[in-house]
Amino acid sequence: MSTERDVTRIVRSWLDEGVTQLPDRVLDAVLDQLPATPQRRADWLARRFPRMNTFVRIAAAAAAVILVAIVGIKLLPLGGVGGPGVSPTPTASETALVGRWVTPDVTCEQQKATVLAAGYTAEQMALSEWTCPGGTTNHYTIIFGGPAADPNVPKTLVLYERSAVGWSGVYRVVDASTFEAGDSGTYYITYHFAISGNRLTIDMVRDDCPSCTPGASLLGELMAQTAIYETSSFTRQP
Amino acid sequence: MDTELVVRAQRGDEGAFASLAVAVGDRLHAVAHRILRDTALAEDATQQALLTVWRDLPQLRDPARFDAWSYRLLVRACYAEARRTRRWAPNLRLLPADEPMGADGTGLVIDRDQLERGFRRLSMEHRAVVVLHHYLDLPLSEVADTLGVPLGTVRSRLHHAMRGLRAALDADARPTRREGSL
Repeated sequence: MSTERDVTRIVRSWLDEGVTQLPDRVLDAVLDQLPATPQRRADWLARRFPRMNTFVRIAAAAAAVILVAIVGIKLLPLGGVGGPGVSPTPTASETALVGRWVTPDVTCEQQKATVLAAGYTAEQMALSEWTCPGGTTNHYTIIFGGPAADPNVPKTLVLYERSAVGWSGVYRVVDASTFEAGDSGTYYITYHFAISGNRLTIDMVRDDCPSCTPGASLLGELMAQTAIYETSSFTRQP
Repeated sequence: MDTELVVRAQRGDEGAFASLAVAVGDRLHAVAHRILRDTALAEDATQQALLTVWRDLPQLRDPARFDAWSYRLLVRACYAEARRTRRWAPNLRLLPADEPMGADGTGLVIDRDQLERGFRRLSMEHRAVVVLHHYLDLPLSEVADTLGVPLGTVRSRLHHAMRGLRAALDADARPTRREGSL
């Protein structure tokens, strides 16, 4: 029987062996493709709003709960309905997501630790006036709606903070581990997800929050996303 | 990583990006190879990851976090490559024996074979955690940050993966010991 230390030593030794050098032809192929690969515009840098406290204003107007506003800014109407690429036939991934998923209670300290572990600093927290979504202890419920009879009708996505709606919008499944969410007409947040048994893990990989101003507002949004989705996995509810 | 180089590449400087790609290419490829256990797939994943780095670089908010960000893109490219491959071929091919022998001889050969089998039974998500932690020596908190999953998830995946590898080593070792005792 191998001890834990043996296994770690053997695995590390095994991983140290083998290929380390990228062949020149691969690098050449990458560099050859650069002219044909336009860089994506940094939307988060380009956006400009007249006032830096827009986020706070919207937050106050959107809900009585202070931190709901961080997510709630996405409620701003963007116009248009539907989006490209919605599959008319539900895939297994879409079916797998549909339903109600709930986190256990998470404390403010746990959420703060998650945000810090994700690389944000206490200074950034102070700058964005970030506080824990939902107060001292919270749990989140996310409900993925099923496909409508009309495949052009977007599927709904609602996030609850305890029993209060924190955010509502639409989503579409991109592939077996990716879904995008947004308001009607725009899918601006990309998430990776994994389902194992009755557990759902979500992590936000990109957020082009259209209502966020660069700086404090955007930081607050990103920290809220991190706290909500990455502090705990979700468990499927009947 | 030279953040100045990152910033220049963010602004579309192809020369700066070429330097950046040279600087990180080997490391990315080494990680991809260890996750995917296939040279061709690893090359494809690395190529795709580098192109994604170029394409999305302007959106990297903090150039100092380039390394973690690029690993995240690489791991996603590995996942995609594995998914693409799974559609048309079973993943049964073992690595060619093109790697140096370990210092402890026969025992290590057996271990390598067992590990290879055990590792291939792991999901890509579990493999990524093992490689980032035990090959790159990233602390678990950085692994979580890189993969964009909670720390608890990383701990759980690592525990599960190492348990699987340990089981592979132990299970596959038993017939060998029996054969040796005959």
